[in-house]
Parts: sequence; C-alpha cells; structure tokens
Amino acid sequence: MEQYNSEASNLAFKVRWLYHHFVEDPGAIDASLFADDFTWIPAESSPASKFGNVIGLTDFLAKAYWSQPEWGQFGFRIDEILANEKIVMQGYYTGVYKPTGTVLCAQMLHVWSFENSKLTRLDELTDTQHFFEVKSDS
Amino acid sequence: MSEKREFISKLYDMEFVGGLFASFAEGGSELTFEYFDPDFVWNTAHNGWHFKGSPFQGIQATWDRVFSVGIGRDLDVATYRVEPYEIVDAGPDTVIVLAHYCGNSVRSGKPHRIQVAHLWTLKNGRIKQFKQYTDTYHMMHFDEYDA
Repeated sequence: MEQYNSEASNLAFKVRWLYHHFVEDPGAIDASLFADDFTWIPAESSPASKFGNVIGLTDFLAKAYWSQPEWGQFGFRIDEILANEKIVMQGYYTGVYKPTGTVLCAQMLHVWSFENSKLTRLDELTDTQHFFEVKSDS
Repeated sequence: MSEKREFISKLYDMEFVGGLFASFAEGGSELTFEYFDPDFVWNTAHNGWHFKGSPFQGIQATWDRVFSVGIGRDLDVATYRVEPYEIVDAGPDTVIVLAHYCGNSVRSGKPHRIQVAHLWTLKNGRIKQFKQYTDTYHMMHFDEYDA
C-alpha cells in the first residue's frame, strides 16, 4: 500500500480487515469505524442497485452481496490499496451463484470516504455485465 | 488543487480532449507526448467497450483499438461528454475520477448516462497508466436500456 496520508493509511489497514470480517466473521466488525449515516452507493446496474443508496451499517451488512442467500463462497481478491483523500480498493468479487453453480469473478473498485477517521461513504463500481452473465447462465 | 489533480482535470475539458484525440490520430504529437508517457498502458474495463485485447500499450495501439473505433460507434459525438462528479487525489502518483459518460445513442437517439471511474497513474509528470471501471451491463445492453 502506498504511504501518503497517515490517517488514511491507518484506516486503510482497518478497512482491509473489514473485508475478511464481512465474509468470515461479521461479529468481529468494528462498528465504531462507521459514521452513523454511513452510505453505500451500489454500482449502477448491479444486483444491489435495486436498493438505491443504503444508509447505516446494519442495512449495509444486510443488503451486501455476501449476505444474499444466492451467493456461496463469496469473497474478495484485493489487488491494490490506495490511501490518501479516500481509501481505494481495487480487485475482484469472487463466489458461486448457487442456483446455477456458475463462478463469479467480477472486477470491482471500492472508494471509501472518511471523516474524522470514520467511514462515511462507499462508492462501488463493478463489472455488472459479468454479474448478469453469471446469473443468466442456466 | 494539487498539481496532478489539475493536470488530470484538464483531460475532462472537452475542447482539450478534441485536440488530444486529433493528436492521437496523428500517431502522437507534441500534445500527446506532453501528457502521455510513450509507453503508457491503457486498461479498458473487463467486459466494457473495447475490452478485447486490453491492455493496450502506447499511443498507436490505444488510438487503433480504443479511440478510432470508440465514441462515435455508440454515443453520438455531438452529444458525448464525460461528467466528473469527484476528482480524488488517491496517492503520490494516482488520481481517480468518478464520472458518468453522457450522450445520446447513435441508433435510437436516447440519452444515456453510464457510471465510470478512471484511475490515472502518473510518472515524471506524464500519464503512465489509465484504468477504467464502468457499468459494463449498461454498455453491453445499450440500445435496450431505459435511460
């Protein structure tokens, strides 16, 4: 990870752990990392875009891909982390779409905004065509 | 505004982009070389427009495989624009632009607005790498999409 802004770098390490906790140990998620009005802005045309902007950690965790029953073995492959004005994760979503058994490997970009060391917003972009193909494969 | 953010911001001035496209078309000129490292790498989003063969290296390959076959095929050049809504200084060498591609369909005339993020990596004051993330479903289902 590039070292540039110390507050962002410190927070980035915690965010990196979040990805592990999201799928392996949700109970270990440190809620104090999130602002009360934390907002997830799902990628346009993604399966989660039907929710619109999702406000609050509880709702975020409930509506995230990895919490949906149709996905198995959901995970993340983080290739690069940048930390300065935002915390940026580049990588892939991985998993299996249970109804068809089709494997997901979708390019993703997460841009986390923060203020006073609390996460305030997550902007997501992902390969929505790949999601569509995986869910359409029968 | 940081120097590198200012440098990248200029790329979203459509008048400037016109000159840059012309410069690409000539196989690179002073303007292109002022902005792009000759060995820059252009990464198109997986499953997006012009993904086949990506990444492209250098001015000629990027012109041939992206710009020359690009915008005018699906989005009407007269209405096309990139609308940034946030430009982020992401690190010592990187600027991220969150934006939408906007414009009317060449075939249907319908307006479109496609989510996109551009990651620009700089080296010695010139662009070393471009990486695109975008709403690929919208791109691939362009004419059936309700804008």
